[in-house]
Amino acid sequence: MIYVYAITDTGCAAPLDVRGLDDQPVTWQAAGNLAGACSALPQRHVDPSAEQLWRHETVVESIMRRCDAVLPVRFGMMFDSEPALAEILARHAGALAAGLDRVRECVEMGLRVMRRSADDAGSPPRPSNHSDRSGRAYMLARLEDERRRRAAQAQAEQVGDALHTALAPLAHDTTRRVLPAPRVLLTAAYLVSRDQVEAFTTRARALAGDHPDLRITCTGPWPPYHFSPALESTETAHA
Amino acid sequence: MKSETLTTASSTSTLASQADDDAAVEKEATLLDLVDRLLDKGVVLSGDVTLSVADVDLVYVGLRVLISSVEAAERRRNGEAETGGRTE
Repeated sequence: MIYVYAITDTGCAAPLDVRGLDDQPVTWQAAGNLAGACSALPQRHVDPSAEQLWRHETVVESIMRRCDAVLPVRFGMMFDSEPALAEILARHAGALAAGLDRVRECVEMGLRVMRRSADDAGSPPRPSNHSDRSGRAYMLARLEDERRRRAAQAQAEQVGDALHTALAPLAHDTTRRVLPAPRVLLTAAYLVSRDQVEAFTTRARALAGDHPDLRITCTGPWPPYHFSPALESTETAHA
Repeated sequence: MKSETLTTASSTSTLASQADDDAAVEKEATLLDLVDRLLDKGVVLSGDVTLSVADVDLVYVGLRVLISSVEAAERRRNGEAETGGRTE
């Protein structure tokens, strides 16, 4: 099987100093102006273990460091042969070329905002010390749950809006999710020019100082996973 | 933990205090960031896609593991504060 890591311009396809999954050498499959970084794997299944994920990421980051544009491929993409990969690249050449131009000279910065205490609003209420099984008590409890949920949602949106307002001007594009988990107020990704990364982290650091009650984590630079094109395909199969 | 200077996607800066428990949590948080990107984002090429676990489910599992770790870390911190810093 041919395992695929990332796509870049043909002109940037050169030997890498890192190895891929199962320590296999990374090679290039060209298709017109595009080139896919790939390696050979004997098996048809790949376990998404931390080690394998980091190995995939290492290859993509190596390409990101040397090329001005890279489209990271989702983990687990494999083909029966190199010609099969070349055919797919050629089929989606337009969308992939446009995708490369969109992220050229850019990287992805990540942001995660979490509550510090498990006792903040959003945690489930503690059970009453008194046994009260009346319908009224049940309804009051449900109303309180809903009030807490809405309060948590409102707080998360307020925090998200404030951070977004502060950071979005430094990015070409952004994505965000509000309350993806009970204590995670916000996760966001920003497409940032490479020469703006320092300004971005400086501003994120200042925002953290403005919100000492929150755990604000900034990660990156990542390859532009959140800003890669969605290709039209009806042949993808998931295990 | 590395300094706040970000050089690769494997470095994470928590823009707050750097306690040992924070370091452990942030290491797991970085793995979650990796899982979220590699299994749920990026270019999806047509062809054989074979994963041992469904991608979205794995992300949820990762989130639950992360939240549990944060809570566990804070319980340990609170427990050590109450006992004068002795290890439980």
